[in-house]
Amino acid sequence: MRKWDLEADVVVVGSGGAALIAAIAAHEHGAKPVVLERTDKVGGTTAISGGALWIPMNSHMKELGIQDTREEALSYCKKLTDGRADDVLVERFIDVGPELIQFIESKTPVAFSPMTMPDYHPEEKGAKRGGRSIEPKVFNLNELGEWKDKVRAHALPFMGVVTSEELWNTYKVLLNARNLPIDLMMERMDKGLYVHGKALIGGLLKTCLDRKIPVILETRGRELVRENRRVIGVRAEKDGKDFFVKAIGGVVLACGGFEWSEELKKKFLQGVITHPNTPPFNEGDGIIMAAELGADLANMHEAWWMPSTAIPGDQYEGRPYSNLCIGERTAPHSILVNRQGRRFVNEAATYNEVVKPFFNVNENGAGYRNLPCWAIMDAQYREKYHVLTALPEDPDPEWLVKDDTLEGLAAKIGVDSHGLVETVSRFNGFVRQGKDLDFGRGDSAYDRFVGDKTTPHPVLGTLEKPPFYAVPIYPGSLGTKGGPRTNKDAQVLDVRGNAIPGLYAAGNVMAAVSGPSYYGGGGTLGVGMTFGYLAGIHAAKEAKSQVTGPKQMAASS
Amino acid sequence: MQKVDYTTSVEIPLEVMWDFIKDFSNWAPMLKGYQSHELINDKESIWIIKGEFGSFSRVSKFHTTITEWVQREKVAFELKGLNEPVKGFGFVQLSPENAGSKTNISAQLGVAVSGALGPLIDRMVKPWVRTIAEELVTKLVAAVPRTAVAEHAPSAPPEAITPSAASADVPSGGARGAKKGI
Repeated sequence: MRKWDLEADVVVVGSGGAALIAAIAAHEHGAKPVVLERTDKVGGTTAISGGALWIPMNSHMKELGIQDTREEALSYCKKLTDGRADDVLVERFIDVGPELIQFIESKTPVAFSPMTMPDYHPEEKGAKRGGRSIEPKVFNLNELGEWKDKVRAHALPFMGVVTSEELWNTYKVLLNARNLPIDLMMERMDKGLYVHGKALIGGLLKTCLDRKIPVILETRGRELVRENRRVIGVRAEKDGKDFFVKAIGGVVLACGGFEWSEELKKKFLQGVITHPNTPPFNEGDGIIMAAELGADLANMHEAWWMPSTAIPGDQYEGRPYSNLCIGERTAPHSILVNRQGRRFVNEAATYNEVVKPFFNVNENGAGYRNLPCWAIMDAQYREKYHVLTALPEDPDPEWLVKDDTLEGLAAKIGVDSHGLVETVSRFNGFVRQGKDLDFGRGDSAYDRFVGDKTTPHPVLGTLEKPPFYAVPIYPGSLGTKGGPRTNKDAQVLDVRGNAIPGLYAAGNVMAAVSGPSYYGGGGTLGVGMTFGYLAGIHAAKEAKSQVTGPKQMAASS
Repeated sequence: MQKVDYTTSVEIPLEVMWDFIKDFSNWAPMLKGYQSHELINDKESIWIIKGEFGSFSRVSKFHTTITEWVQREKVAFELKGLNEPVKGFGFVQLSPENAGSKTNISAQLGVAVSGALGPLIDRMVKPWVRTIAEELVTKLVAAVPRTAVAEHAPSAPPEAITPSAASADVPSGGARGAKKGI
């Protein structure tokens, strides 16, 4: 007989959005859940994210006067997944998503507001030009008492105090941090008021604390414990020792992807993520645990790709810190080029699509054609927009390569000089025509949304005013999206397609319901939390079933 | 602007304290986040410091200029960030106590971040500035060779010199202590 250190109805491994909602849903359905978190902070990747959820037909869309239907959502999602995700799960996500939002807003302090950001492929059938993405309203972290400082913080502590809508529309900060509402930010920080993922996690954690759901930090799930075929618990590591937690109803794996595991990245991804943008603790723990029990892994070659930049020496949690590359590729007066000095992508497209061609292989099969990649800008850009953390009025930092001529710049960064000069000349011609004939930059409503709405063209501007600048752009990721396949209740499936009793996966642990695509802002958390919610409900019912027996369960239901 | 003042009294003769402080290489590694430094000339040097602000850290390069050098009494300096809009200043001042058997140490460090994000960055660096000054003095006192303390008699009255006039008593350490390659 195994000796358990702790017993619960549902054990949730991880403490991001998918994890906490699984615990809350399980509790709501009568179970006693427990949350195990590897680090000393709550929130995982969610806490440092924008905290948005992409949910078709959500109740907030009407606030923007936008209508949505199941058919439109299905049409859009299925077009993007292109048969590489389980249609049953896509439908389940679309059907349950609005219920999830209703549940969150009625059972937790989290409240959402709709975002005007269009879906990431707004020209596709069934897409919407706003409303499907929603973001958390302000939450006061002081409500967490002594847990306030246990919520994972962004690398830059002043991130997460202004909503995305405020950043993009009210203050137009996306391309120029100079516009940040400093006084408002200081005031909010003084009062403990946060938005984005910190507000989402704050609200969910508050609910866990109010419901007395144990959240155990610095306890890393390592191995599932099985009896017969059923998962009955987890072996975790706590204080350097084994810590066995019994799970009567099941274990929900919601502890992130594998973007920080060099081994798994090499094994599975089409190209290695050199600069992940997440907390450096997502090493595929959940995926390894599930695989150990014969889980059917899928979508393992995909990630939520993000072009990244990095300032040499910057670190977060003791590991290299990578910035999201946004303005450096979407603002006017900038382009991305490869070592031939050639453009290779619509730079203003959604981040998930921009990284994919990084991994195109050279014609001779040796090496990637578009890596290394450089963002090239001119003085017009530098005078108006920020480059990483350098504002227009700041001195040019040493990490920003600079030269008075394109030829000189090309020589400094090891790019073909002739190619770069020719590319810039061609691009400038497109700018003057108002149309990018090579890659369609600016054709999509999404491109224009992330551009500078105050300029003649939001994403097209010439590169002609010296000095010229360059920064390297790297393959980054907001998380990987491969893992165990699941059924419509988030139960993990084995390689024969049968559910492994007592085992669930949600968030970036599970094989993503979006396949290779990214539906829209919050496409990660929307799906992840929907299946976390479903996992919690099902595991709670399983717990009841294990205690009372299936017949009594049926009779009582 | 974040400014911190720090004063302490140590049972070390001023002369011993001064001998230790005047050679940057003796104490530079005790500076929180110190990576390396390189002397450009008697007055100027480049310092590379890793600043830790919660879970985030950044390695920054500062150009430092000695603005005042009063032998056995005071060193004042100014600093300027080479990659960030940061400026700063500071000084360390020594004065004898208890007939020269003890030394009073006063230190000040001020850091100002300009630019649009100045107030936000200032807020980040505030706890760092506070600890950097306190830690340095504490470590410095602990590192002064005890043999020198025991052997040394109370110091002579300080004499003032300008940095440019400094000869044998100029800041040293570049030759034998500073790391190169920056």
